[in-house]
Amino acid sequence: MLLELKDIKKFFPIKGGVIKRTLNFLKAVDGVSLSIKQGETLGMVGESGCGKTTLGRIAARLEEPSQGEILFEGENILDYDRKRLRALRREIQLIFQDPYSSLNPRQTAGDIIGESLCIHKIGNSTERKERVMKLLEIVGLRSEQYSRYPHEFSGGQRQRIGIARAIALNPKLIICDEPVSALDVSIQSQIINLLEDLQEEFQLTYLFIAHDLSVVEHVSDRVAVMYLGRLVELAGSMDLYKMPYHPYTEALLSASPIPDPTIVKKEIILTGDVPSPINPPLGCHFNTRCPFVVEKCCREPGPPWEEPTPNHWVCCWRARERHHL
Amino acid sequence: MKSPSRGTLLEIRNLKTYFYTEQGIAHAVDNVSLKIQEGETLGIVGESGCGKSVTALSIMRLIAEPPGKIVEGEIIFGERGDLTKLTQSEMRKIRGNKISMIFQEPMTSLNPVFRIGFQISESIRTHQQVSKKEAVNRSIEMLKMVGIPSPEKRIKDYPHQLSGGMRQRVMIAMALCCNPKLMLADEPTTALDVTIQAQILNLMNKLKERVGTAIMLITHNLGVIAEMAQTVCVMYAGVIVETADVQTLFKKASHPYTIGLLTSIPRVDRTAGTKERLNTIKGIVPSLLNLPVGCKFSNRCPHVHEPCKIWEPPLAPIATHSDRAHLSRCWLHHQPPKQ
Repeated sequence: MLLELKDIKKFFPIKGGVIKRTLNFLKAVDGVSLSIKQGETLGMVGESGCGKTTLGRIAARLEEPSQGEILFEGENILDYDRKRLRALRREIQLIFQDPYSSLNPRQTAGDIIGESLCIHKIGNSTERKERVMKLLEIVGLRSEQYSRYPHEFSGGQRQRIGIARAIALNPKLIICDEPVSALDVSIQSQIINLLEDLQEEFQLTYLFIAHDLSVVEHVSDRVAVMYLGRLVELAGSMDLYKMPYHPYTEALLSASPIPDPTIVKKEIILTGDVPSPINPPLGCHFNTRCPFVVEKCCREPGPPWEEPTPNHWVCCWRARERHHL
Repeated sequence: MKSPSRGTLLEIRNLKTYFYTEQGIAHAVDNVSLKIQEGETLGIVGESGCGKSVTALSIMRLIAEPPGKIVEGEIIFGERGDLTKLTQSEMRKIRGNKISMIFQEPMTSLNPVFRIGFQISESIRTHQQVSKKEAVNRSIEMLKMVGIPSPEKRIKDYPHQLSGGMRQRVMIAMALCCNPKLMLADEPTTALDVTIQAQILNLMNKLKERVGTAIMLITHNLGVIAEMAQTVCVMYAGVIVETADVQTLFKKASHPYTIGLLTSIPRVDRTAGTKERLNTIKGIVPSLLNLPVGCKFSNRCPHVHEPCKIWEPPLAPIATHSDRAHLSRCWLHHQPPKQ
């Protein structure tokens, strides 16, 4: 196991009033446990506000969880002091969604990629420059573009710079937060292929966060589905697609448009909007929109996280009954 | 599958809309011709910069002049004739009334300082001679039609009090309140979550059947096109490169760009967990200020040959297909001029 998240919770206090007292909490992540194996790609899918980005940032220790444990290679990294945390940064890196705001417009491509090498005092200045040029080529850019500024590159090229920056330190784990959502369709496939090639070449492990189910299913070995701060299902990609157990997963699959007019999908149109994470429903968070809700779903505690078939986990009172397991 | 023969509602002929900038002239729409039949959904698909939004804005005469200008072409709309020749005052009678438009970002297209009831009523009262009370009643009816619960209470809300999906429903209510013949929908669901997108697309289809509006649906998402459109135009760098009915487009795509797009999308029903290499289109979309000579796709096309770099192919029926409505802009499908 490379990374283990144990019962992670992240609550953001909402302050208000004249003296800024805490009025309420926004429960961005409400008890998530996950493990990622060395070399795998774990996909994380969910709609806006489900907490997947916050979870990704917690895994990278850009945010501190309100509760829970994080183990990296078996060690509790929440206990780390500044020195060990700095060393940890070499192992866990991030790729961000927006290629326009995730690069410093005042730094050249070379500086952006080489900055981390500088900070961690890797090699001398010549060696660092060589490494950066090599990285540029690895991600499909030309090494002569070393001294160009971000605005001189296209969106897809900027994302390549972001990827080069992420692999510069030879990390073990890369957290990709919507790495292709902001790109045109014909560029997305180039970047997806690049990420897969890099994974093979450098034995990388990915936590791949996205809202587009087709993209997530394609790149991932296993996929976790999140809704309103909780995990609702976790299974191998093919299993999740062929046999989703949770009604929300079924709705997501049904809602994802397929580029083939002849395919007739099972239509599951959810009613209503996603409830606010400030006041999530009692019991199962999905009960306000679930087409199969019964009384039990609205009572605390929420449904248990169980494994009705090997390596396929679901959080639903009615999963076994509905799928005859 | 042939649809029952209906009249042509809108016809665009050889439209050219350019933007005059300090860096040069951007040929945003560079000779586009298409037809929309009454009651049908025409899908316009393409990536950023292909000219699909500018085409819609040209129809609505919402192109800012300067720096933009409709340089050439005709937009024939039913009995109103050529829209490019109308004055702004005449266009105001058509916008929101006979032709309406919904946009991608519902937050920035609804006025944040007016209540939503007012914004719908405003549209009704601009085009129809009704009392204020009557307009309010109609607004409530429209909100009900687009599936907003407790509409009598909601008309007093401001846009920021609603979710993205609800705001988009309000936009649709505003667009349909005067029973337009044509609705232009520019990426109406791109900013929405996928389950909300499904709701909105479902709603648009239901309303279309009820009201009989034709829809010009602009999107970069081929899946949405497959679900919604009857006829499809694929755009690239300011021109249409392929036109076909939706079944033909997906089964017999012929233009290398269309084929490239279709084969480079990960398909959840085909490649889940396989980590198969996706097909790609090499290179990037050219800048509109600096398009290649000849065919605009020539610098990225896997089948490029000599004539492609000299002459731009015409958009014409493919010689070897019996379906005369299947058009392609490619020298693979037509005879290039003799050198």
